[in-house]
Amino acid sequence: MLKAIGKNMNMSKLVRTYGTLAGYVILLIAFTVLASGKFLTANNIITILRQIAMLAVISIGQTFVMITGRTDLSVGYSASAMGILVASLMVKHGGINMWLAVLITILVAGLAGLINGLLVAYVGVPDFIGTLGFGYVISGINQAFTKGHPVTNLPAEFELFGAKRLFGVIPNAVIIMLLVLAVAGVILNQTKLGRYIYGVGDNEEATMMSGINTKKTITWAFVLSGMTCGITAIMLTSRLGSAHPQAAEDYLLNSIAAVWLGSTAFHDGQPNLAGTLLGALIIGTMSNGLTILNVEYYFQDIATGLIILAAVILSSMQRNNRK
Amino acid sequence: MPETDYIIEIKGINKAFGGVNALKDINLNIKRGTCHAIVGENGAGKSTLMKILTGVVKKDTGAVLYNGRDVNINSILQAEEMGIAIIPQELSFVSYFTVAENIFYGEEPTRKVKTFIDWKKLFKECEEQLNELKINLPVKAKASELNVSDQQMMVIARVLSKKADIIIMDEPTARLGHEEVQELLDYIKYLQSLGKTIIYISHRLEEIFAVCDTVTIMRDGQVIDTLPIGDLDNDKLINMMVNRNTKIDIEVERDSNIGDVVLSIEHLNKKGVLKDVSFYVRKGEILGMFGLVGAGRTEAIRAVLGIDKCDSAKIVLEGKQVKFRNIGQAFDAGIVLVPEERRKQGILPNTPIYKNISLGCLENFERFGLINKKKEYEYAKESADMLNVACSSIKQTVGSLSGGNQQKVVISKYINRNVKVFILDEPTRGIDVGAKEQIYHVIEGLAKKGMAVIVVSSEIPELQRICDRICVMSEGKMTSEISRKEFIDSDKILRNAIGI
Repeated sequence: MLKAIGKNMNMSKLVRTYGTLAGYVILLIAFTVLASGKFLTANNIITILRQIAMLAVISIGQTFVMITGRTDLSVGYSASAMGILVASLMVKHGGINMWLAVLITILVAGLAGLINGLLVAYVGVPDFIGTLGFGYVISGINQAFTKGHPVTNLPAEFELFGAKRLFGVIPNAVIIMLLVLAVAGVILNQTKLGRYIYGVGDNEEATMMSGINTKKTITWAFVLSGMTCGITAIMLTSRLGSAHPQAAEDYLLNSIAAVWLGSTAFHDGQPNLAGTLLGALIIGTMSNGLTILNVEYYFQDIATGLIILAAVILSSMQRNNRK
Repeated sequence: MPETDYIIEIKGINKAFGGVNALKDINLNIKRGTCHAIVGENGAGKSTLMKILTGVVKKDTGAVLYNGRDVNINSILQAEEMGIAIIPQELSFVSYFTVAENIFYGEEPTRKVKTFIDWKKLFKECEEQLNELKINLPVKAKASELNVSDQQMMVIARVLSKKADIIIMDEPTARLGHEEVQELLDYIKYLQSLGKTIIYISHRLEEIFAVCDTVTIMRDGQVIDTLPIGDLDNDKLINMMVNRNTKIDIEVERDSNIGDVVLSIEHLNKKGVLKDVSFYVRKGEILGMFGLVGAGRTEAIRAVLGIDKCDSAKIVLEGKQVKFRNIGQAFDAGIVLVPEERRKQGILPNTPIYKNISLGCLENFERFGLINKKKEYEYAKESADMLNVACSSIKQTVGSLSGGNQQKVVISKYINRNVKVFILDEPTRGIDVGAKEQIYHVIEGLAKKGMAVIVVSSEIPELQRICDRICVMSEGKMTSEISRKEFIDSDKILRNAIGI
């Protein structure tokens, strides 16, 4: 295996491909040493996984969009609103069946993604302003509907999606994350849509010239991103036990950061699923480790921000190298 | 007084792009105060030479003497500071700035505090300068409100305000009407009377005879000759522009098996671009489309395939009238295109060869919505092998291949599909000579397989080599159709393209 790697890659490529992963390992070692016994425990590892599950899911959606060279800035607003939606469906006016509520939420989230996609791909609105603008609309509807109040008194069975654990060990959220990851992997690597998404990212005009409907491809990427917002919202609401109108807004920056971090690993500057998972792990581990070390939260923000910037710089350098 | 009559002396310049010689041992002197024309077919090397003079491209070897001094020009800015300015074919200016802002861009008069522009002074100085230059333009009008001719005068005024001594004009009349051309030519004469030197690049011979003093003829990256205008006439000039020395064995009778008309286009119109263009191509035939830059060849093809909109057209494919709303529909109907700009439109550079090849026909390897990678890989391998794509593995990225092999990959995307009409736009641009011949074999192979082939090209020898018939376009019109028997006569092809 190592021999094969050595044959096909020179040293700099090895660093470019696995450097970020090595960086993560160093981070793990550092926390293990510094937190003497509190960091590297089975319990804490499961905690980290549970913490990153939602970020990973929403970042997987963002990965689809970012592979096409665009960014979905509506994810935080959308996930917050979808949390309110799923909660309200279950508790307002007597409430509907939980599974139906979950299904409706994912569909509505996909619909929001569809609107983003249509705006960007067909109307031609730049992705930054289009998704941010529509995100604001969603956020406004959310605020108008809730007046800023959380939705509480969720049915106990709803704990299934975030709070419960399989065999009392593996958090269900982690299982959902792995399922989403598997489905996304199949879409990206085994289906036409996945190929087209990568094609648009590599050379949009050449992909169009190959007879592929690039507008439809871009729109689908946004729909998938929207759907992961819905799934994340369900997981988050289940975990918190109630829906807050602004619960998921942090996911905007963090999902972009996870994908950027991930694009520095494995795939030579291109966003990719394994990288995104690693990106989410780095962000989650940072926050977990620093909390264990009792670092105050604003220092945590500074540290996370610096790591994100470092990743962006590294990734830009890789892209320039590729040219 | 400068010691030499020549403002620019070019001595032994060579330039290669990735193994392809764009300029070979160029020697050229330009006399101060003259209007010096540079003529030649597309790809003769005119643009590359001008890019070297303006610092856009670096020369490999050789020297440029400016006023007798050896100079190294590294950027457009530096060229402008020295007094060499170019009016490019595609004018660049800020369209929502006023005329005055554009002319003084970067050198706006300021108030006492240097951050603030002195608007009053800006407009006043601009007005004065334009009067001095005898250019009549509304200084407060937005650049976007001007017509093309006035925009060009604005750009000329800008370079003159920067004290340019040499003004290079690249196809300055390409988008002007008849009267505007005359005004521009008159202005060029006025500039000469001010002692300015003009380098004039144009396909339009009558303009060259009207204003130029000296003509340099370029061909295949070399200077053929530099002559005073008095020693030349239309025929002589065209003879020198056309390549007669490269021996191409044109077999008049060739082993083509030409069948019925597959695709016919009638009355294709697009306002300002295409005027009543009609052509057809038959089964097993290679049709060439020749024209100079801006003749409308690529535009015609794009309109047929539904990439761009057109005003009207009757497109008949195998007896049925069709209309494509996007290129995907054209592909599904069996018309495929190998686009003009390979890097920009043809390849996914960071994607493996086999994924490039299969991109447009993934549905053939699908089962239950999933791609059967083994089948896909085998298909791609077979296609790549048919065209002898030289690579260590088809898992290699396309960006790592040579230009010729990249082009083979683009062609191989369609080679095993049900294609009726195969269109190739400038299929050998930027490909070195040896690889060109391979591409020609591939194209001939397509016709032998019974496809109708259209080759759009700016290179006459290329079309003479492979086509059964050539259509010539000029200024958005189809000007003539030339049969293989008449091919020997390169002049005829070029004459029709120039429109004389």
